[in-house]
Amino acid sequence: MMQKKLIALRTPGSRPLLALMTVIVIMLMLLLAACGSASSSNNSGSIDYSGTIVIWHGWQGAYLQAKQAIFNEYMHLHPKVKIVLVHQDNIASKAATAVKAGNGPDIIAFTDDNLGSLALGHIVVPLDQYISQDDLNQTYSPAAASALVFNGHVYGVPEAVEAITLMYNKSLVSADQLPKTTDDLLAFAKRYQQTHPGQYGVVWPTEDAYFNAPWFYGFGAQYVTPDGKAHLDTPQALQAMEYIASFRPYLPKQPTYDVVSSLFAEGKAAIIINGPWSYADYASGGKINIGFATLPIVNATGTPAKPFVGVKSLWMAKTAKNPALVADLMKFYTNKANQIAMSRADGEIPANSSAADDPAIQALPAVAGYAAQVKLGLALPNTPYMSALWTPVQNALTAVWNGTQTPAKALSDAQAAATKGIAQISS
Amino acid sequence: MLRVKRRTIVAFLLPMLVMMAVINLWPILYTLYLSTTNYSEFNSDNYRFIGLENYRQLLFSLDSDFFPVLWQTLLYVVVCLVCFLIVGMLTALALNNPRIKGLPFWRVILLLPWAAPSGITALIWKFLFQYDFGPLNQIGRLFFGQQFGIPWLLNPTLAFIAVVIVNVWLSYPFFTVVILGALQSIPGELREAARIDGAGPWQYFRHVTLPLVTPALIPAAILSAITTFQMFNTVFLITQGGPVVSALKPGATEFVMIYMYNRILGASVANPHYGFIAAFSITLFALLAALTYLGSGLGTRLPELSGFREART
Repeated sequence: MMQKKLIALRTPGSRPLLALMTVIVIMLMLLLAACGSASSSNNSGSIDYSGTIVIWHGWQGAYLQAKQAIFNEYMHLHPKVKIVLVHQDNIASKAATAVKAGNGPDIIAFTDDNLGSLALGHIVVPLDQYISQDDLNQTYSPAAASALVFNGHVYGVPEAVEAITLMYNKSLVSADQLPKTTDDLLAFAKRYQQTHPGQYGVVWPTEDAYFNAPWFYGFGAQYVTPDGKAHLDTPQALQAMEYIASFRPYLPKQPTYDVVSSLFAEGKAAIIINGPWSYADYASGGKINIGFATLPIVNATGTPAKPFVGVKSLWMAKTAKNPALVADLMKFYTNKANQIAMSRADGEIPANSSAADDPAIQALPAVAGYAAQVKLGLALPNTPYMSALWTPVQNALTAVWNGTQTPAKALSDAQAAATKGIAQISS
Repeated sequence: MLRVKRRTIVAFLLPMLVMMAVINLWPILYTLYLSTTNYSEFNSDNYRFIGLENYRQLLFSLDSDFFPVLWQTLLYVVVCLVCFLIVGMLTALALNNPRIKGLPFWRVILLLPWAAPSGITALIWKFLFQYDFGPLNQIGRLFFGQQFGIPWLLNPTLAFIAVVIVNVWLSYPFFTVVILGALQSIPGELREAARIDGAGPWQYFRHVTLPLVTPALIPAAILSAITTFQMFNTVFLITQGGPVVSALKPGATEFVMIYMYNRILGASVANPHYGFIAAFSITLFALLAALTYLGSGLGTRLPELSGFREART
């Protein structure tokens, strides 16, 4: 009886349900279709100084205050313009979703290595008619200028640059003891450990692709070229990998960023290779008297080790309503006076080359220290293929550091993995 | 008898059914659809239907990670389950012994790991296992000299053991509780009868305790097997799926959920192929559903167990 009733219930009941499901499916599909139909219109000519500009950014604390001051000044100059700063985490992926749905920002502020994939996904759009490549090259330092160009188009302006450099604890090592070449550095690490048991001469996260780029590029290797070819199986890459592996006895076995950073902060490491973001942590309260030096010269090639220069950039999003105004704001934001003011307020390294060379900036030891290293570095590749390299390189470094693979085997596996990843990007 | 029209019933159920459809059914159907496309981050505008190509690549291509990952996940499940059962049984037997003094205290202590948030527990264990500065190795160095060090999270086998230890530490109290409940429902007369028949402690355990506890254990074990199979947070916080043995192979503790996460949202994944990962998760879903079905049959169909249950009632 019960059974029968249940079955009887199910059959007629399923028709409204089916109809309902169809309605839901159709509604969701309409929703998806609506997401793809956003477009923006370009109108060149004289600038209309009115409207709202929304900027998505990841700035915090002192950085945000310094930048807010510049935007306030712009709003003061052009009272009809309203600039809204919106803090976002995971800017790249959020922007991708929002712009496709038609409610993205006008400007996206992020590091240059994301430019390639955002440009290919039409999340950010070129600004060539407002800012030319010549403008970029004249105004900004070379690495910074090159980071804003992708496939021959200009996508925005650089605001600040950063690179890892050699930072040392002045109470543990004096300037004349500093290693000048890669062989010196290895010898220094060995000697320091002998004279200071339980402490370390030099530390850096040896399993991280970003922190080891100086060695790879200094030895003449490269991770990936813009045409989408990985180059991890070259003899130069092998040399770099063997050099890194030769530090295994003189560094911790698990040298994660947190571990090496706290070693330096506690005075248990004389030298660290690290970037501007870490300076305040070490220097605040006069804890450590920090000196700066550029990374050593690679003996094998005679060229200095070349770190990646991360370029903090402002790009125009596809959803920008007034491109001419956006470009004007970008130029204003990165002019010499404003860049100097920003750098003095938050200690960032200005991308504007005349600002970076200004005596007021050169007088700041930290900014001058990183700026010297930036000149020797190369822009963090903005090709989307780079994203296929980080994990394989890191895996190879980890396998070598753990001793599970030889440098040659680790690199050939990484080459294969990277090639596979690149193929997935272009497929 | 109250008579209600079927249409009225449907109307009342409708809001709930809509919720079910939107929240439960739609993602599953959408994943099923995704698994037959080549949808990825970069071609989200122009992806297309590719049939079962993703499944072919997953199950039949030579460099597929599917079987290694599945194998190490199953191994993890089996090893963890065995440890859960042994540790849970031992602690439950100890707690069930009336001769132990301060029983409430010991009960709280033994159940404590269960109450601790797993994320925090995982991070504490991660620190304990750290090679250079972790307390485990530091203590070892006091006894065996400066050169001593167990590469807990650096060696593939040891890392596997480490995440087993953490999971056992986190989960055995659940088994303690379940087994303890079953133990306490064993009537005292059985013990007396067994003693009169001349059964020793082992024989009593083997022939009286174990058969009576097993029916309670089977659902718990199935439940645990599924949660362990889908284990993510604890292991990910400790190893991120590592240690890496090669750029071409999955890490030694890269279990299915971690593998999927690393391929979609991982720190620097190149171009997430949502279609392929959807195929991966659908395959796992089918596998888990089949295992659960087999497992649920196990709980009710064993004849001697149901015989016992009938005898007791």
